[in-house]
Amino acid sequence: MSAIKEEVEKANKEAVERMMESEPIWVDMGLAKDKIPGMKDYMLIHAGPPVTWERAAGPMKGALIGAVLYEGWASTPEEAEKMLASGEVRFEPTHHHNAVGPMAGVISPSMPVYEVYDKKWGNRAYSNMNEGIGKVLRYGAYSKEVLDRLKWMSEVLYPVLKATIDEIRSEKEGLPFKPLIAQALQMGDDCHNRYYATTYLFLKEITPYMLRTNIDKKDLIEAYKFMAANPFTTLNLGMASAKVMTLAAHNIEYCTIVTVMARNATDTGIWVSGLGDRWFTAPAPIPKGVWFPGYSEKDASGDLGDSSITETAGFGGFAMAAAPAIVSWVGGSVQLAIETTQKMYEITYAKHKYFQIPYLNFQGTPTGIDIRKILKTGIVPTINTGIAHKEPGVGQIGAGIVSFPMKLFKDAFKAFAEKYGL
Amino acid sequence: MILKARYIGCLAKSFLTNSPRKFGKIRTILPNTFYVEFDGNPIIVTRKKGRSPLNINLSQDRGESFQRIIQPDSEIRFSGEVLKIGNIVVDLKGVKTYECVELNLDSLRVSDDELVKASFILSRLYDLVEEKVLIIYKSDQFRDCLTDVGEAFAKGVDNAIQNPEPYRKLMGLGQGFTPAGDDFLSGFLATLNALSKVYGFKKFFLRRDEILSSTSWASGMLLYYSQYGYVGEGVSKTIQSLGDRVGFLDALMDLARVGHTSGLDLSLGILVASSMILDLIKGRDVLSRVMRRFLNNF
Repeated sequence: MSAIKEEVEKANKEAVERMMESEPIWVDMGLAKDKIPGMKDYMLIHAGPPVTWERAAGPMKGALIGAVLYEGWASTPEEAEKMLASGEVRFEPTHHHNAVGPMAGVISPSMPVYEVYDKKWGNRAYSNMNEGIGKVLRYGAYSKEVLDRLKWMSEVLYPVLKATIDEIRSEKEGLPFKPLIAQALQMGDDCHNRYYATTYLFLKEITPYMLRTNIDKKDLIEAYKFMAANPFTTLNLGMASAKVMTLAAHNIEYCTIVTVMARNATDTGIWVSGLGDRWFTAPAPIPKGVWFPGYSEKDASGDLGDSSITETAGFGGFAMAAAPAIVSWVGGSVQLAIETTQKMYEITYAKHKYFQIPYLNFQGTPTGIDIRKILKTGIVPTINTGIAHKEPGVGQIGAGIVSFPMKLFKDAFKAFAEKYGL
Repeated sequence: MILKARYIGCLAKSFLTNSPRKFGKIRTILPNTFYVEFDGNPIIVTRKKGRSPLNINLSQDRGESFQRIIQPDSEIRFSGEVLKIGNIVVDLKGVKTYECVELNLDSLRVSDDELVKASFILSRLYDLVEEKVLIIYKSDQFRDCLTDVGEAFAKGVDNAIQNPEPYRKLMGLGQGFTPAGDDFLSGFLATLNALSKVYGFKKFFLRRDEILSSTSWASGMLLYYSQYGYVGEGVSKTIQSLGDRVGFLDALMDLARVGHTSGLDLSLGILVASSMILDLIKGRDVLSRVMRRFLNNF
């Protein structure tokens, strides 16, 4: 074997091994300003690669406006827009702060966030609490109903979860999340767009501790009902877990494994381990979807969200064969779900040690996207996703399947050649 | 069964319309492609999207394997605007012609560094090929060709490319439907000949009988026409991008993914030929820098 080949092979093996051996544990809740590194007043973080206000798409603008209103920095959407356009309120990618957020992924300083700690490698990642589907901030909606829900989440749900995790921590190190994902994949979830089993497993785990807290019973019941009714309750924890897994694989010299895939509705972007925090971007494609009544592709925004961190870590759309029922939500057929997983083996480095797919004879999920394999096969990563309306303020209009543009991987490989090949 | 054609290559069209006998024979059948010999000339009928002067590209990109529905050596007839193979009809009505693009560059504008980067990219993609497959650049025959043709030409011995001996050793070398040696030579000779006029050296063409005595009919035919510039659009785009300051690496990466190693071997041929010419005209050490990336000695 030749020197560079050996270096790349060694780096990729190490990266994927680190990713798979990562041990994400939910350890705490807190306000973003207290928890997220670099989070400041009059600052927001958002999904995907960097974007300016002028270039930001409708749902991203809507979510940023909503967050400004939520913080009370402005009293009208127009005022909020001015603050964002002028730079009075800054916004930066979540990934620059070890955070992730689904869809627009907007997190403001006083929003509560989950903290996930990687017991194996020591990294920490953060994500906000999930609001449910439809008219929600992460899809760009910012009506009173949306802001009231966020307020309720902050005043009722957050204290319940904070007290619960404190109670868990009084007894053990926190709630390990990898076993939940591993189990849920065998119960029909893909852990990107289908989190039913994960959410039920999560509630089963936390309920005894919830009941031990001193929180008012009415609030406990409200919080429980809200989480049980929302199949995406655990999406954000799954994403933060995926983020620490991929952080463990990041910044390894010579490594060709993708460690971030994220979209902001204008652009889609990736990071590659051996190339550090450099974004490679391309225009965000529009997903092929199943539409909510009254909507169609012409209403859709470009692809959006940090949730593709799940596929980056070896589950989500890459594990669609584990979740045949997901096709009723994202479209396609059961066969397509199986084919999608099978195709992803061709562009990944390994089969996951711990995440397995019963239907495929308990094969590990495709893990560690290798840009070399994408270029050699012409197969690009395929994920499933929610779809936002292209205009700010509307919200979710469907869910579907989308592939990442080849340009991202070509540009990354050119940069890899520039760094290591000259 | 009716197979609707979407594109017909300029050469395929010419072979059909100028054929005196209007019938041919199925020579080779692959799952999504079959090769027809028409009066000694090749026509490739394929469900794949890549166009070429020799191709008839079908509209449907999926379907039952041709190996199940077509028998080897079957007769194929051309009448009106259809090709008939037993019950199978290839409908050419309204088909668009893929016009041949003349590969005749007016300059080599790609930079040394782009070629070196290309060699690094290609070698990393070769790393993914299984050990049991012949990697052309590791073969003795390739090294001989590089020394006898490449290095000599780069040093100014411009008739070095006229010596057929090193090419003979490469023809038919390797496994698969189009052996690596044939693919390398296709990219290599197509590039050299495309740049011969502007840099004032003589073109070189391997003889048809010589090619066919060294490799399979289908692969040999592809090689034979490639040296005249009748190449698929991926190869054509890559060679043409040598005349641009940008776009070469993107075109090369698109080409590299074709087939098992065909795209890599074609790309290697283009890369070696263009490096030789850059050395010839600028007196730089490009070929050596390029090959060191493959041998990981830099």
